[in-house]
Amino acid sequence: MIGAAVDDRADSLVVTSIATWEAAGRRTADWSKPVGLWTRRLWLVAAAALAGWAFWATGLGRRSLVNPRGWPQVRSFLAAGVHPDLSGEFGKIVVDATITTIGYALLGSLLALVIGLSGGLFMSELWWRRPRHPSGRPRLIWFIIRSLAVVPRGIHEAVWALSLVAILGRDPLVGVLAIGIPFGFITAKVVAEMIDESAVRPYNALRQAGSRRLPAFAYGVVPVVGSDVVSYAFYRFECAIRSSVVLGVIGAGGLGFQFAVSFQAVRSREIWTLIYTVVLLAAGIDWWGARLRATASRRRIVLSLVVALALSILSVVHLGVSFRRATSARTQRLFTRFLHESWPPRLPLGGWHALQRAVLDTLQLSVVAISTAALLAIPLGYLGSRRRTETAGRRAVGWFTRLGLLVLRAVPPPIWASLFLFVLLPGPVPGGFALGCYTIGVLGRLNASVMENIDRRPGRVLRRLGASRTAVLSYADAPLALPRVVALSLYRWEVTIRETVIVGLVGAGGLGRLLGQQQAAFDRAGIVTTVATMIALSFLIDVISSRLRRDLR
Amino acid sequence: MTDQAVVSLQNLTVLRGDTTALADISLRIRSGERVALVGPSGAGKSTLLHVINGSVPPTSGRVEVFGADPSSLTATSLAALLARIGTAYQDLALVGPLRVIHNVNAGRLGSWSLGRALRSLVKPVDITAAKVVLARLGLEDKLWVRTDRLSGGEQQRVALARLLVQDAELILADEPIASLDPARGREVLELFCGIARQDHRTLIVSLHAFDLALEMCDRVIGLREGRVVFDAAPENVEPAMARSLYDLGRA
Repeated sequence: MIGAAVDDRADSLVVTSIATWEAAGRRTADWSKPVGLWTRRLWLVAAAALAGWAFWATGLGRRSLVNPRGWPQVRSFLAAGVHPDLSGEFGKIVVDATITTIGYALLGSLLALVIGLSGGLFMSELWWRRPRHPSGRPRLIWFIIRSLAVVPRGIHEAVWALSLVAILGRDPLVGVLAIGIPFGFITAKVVAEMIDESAVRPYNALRQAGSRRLPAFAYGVVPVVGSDVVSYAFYRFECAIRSSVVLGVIGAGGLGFQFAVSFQAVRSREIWTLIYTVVLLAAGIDWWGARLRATASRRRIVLSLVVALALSILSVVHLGVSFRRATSARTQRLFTRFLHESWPPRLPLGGWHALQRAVLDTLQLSVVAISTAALLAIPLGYLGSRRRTETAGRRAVGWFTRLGLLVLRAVPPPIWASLFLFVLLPGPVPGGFALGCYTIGVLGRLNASVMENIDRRPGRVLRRLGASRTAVLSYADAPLALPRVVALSLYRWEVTIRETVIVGLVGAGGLGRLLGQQQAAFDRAGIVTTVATMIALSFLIDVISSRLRRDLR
Repeated sequence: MTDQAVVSLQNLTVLRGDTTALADISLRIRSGERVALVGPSGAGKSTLLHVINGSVPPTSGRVEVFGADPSSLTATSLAALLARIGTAYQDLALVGPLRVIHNVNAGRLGSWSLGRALRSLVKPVDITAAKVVLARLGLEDKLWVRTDRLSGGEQQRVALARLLVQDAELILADEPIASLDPARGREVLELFCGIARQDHRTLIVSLHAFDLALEMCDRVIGLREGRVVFDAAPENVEPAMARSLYDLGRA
């Protein structure tokens, strides 16, 4: 199964286009305007300065970051890797935790699909076009809906979970909602993007012929984007599994929770069992998703939907999800109190200075993570990409690279952070590296897909006129792949900004840590400020990165 | 000089799976000739060009290009031979994100050292030569533009410029005008023939446009089902010969 997940080629095109949909920025951007050499140089200098600052500020190379006493611990931890805890007692715990993790992910993705489908419709430009002016600007309401949808999507699952716990208490519904709401709004954006990208012409043709809005959508849009939406939904499920593990770390139960328990007790053999479990789980779901996307066979899709539905019902029972608590008078009271305590927002302890400090730390964390990851993901993506013809040695290298990337992204960032804390002193460095590890895993896979799908013809032509392999790489393959690789790395930077929350919560610093402190002190009004700052920061990064993507294109 | 054989094929046969792509072909193409390969789809025109540039090995028979058999050469001497053969492709195969100068200079990769090739990506070398070639094609002001920002016709000429700086003695073109409208097709073919005539290069071009082949080339070879049906100067090509190529009834 791992072999198949690591070896699926047909999937790579779909994976890159999914990333492109997610990365799609404001479509009004003018792509045709040529950009001067100086603009590019300016960006490069700015990027280098930012990365330089981020690394300098960590104190890397200036003060000791390594905890030398940790080495024996690392050695014994690594030694435990060959004999993980396979006892029946722990095995039962792991199986139970795995079912819990899958359950949250499944119910969360189902909710996300419901939100995504309905939201996607209303977020598409197409829905709001004035019927008489199919090419005119969409109505104002479209802009408002789109802008409002940024908020739920900009709040990380972990933050949703912490806020919902305040209202619902420790209820299984929290995990489902915490995954379902943000993922739902991301899905809605992607669905809207798909609709506006591919269904405009068929829809307009039907409207022109006098059809009403809803039938025109049913005949002109649904068939066009249907299969893409299905494959995206299953891709989201893969992401939901990872999220579900992360939520476990902060208390929702399941594999993440077991990780935290085993870490606290420093039971290395159990940690290894859990690592192997998450890797197997990730591989299995990758494999399932790849099968599904590779052949858009109706039978397989229907089968998957039926299985998903059956498993969802089982999950509801297993997790004990019910709305009884959510609709109780107590919840209403707590919700009112929650709103009351949250408003008006208040600055964190330490005022503007503390907030500014946290923003800079978050920025620094994200830059350390993304620049390490972006640089390493290029060679790893290259090694991990598949070729039509390859020697046995090259194939082995590719297979192991892909396996490594799978492990990097299957193990959640807080776990990486805990592992780094064996040898590194606490602070932004282990947090940055932990996020970096995870991002390498994701970005390496995306880069590999880009490199597998570039146009091979120019390279073949140069080969035919006698150019060496390296010359072909530098004159054809690299220039063709690089713009997309850079665009994907910039897109992952936005994601990384949001993800800093989870390493922050476990102590790496930045807005995440601030949030953790405020959570512990029940400072709701402060949390609102921190979350708003977070959203503003990721919005700013989104603006910068889409500018950059355009200028470097 | 003129009767020196650039390409010489003896009893060339190429099998692709069970089908015979080329059957027992013997040809001599001399330096400076402009040869058109005509015939219906699947006649073996592309395969013949691929055998000449060494990308398809012959199943049996002898192939000599510039006096050497491509399939028997070592990697180094094959690269040297390939640098003398320029191939033009219908889909141009340009690298969109690169500037025009680099796409043109890519034509020299067969003769450049690796160090020079990599240096040129940072600080382009041989700019003058590239400029001269582009000026000849009316593109001298596009040297620093990204290739994918050019129009289709301009890109066609960039591909031609790459072929020109390669300074190939033998130019192979596989249906270079199949996707163009008649006027543009004529223009591109004129460019190819003009280059071949002025610089005394050998041109082998496969074409669907029979009348253009008669008008611009000085030798027309008709292929059908992997065999040479006729091989004549344009003035000796009878209408009946053309019919014998495309007539579907006579299988």
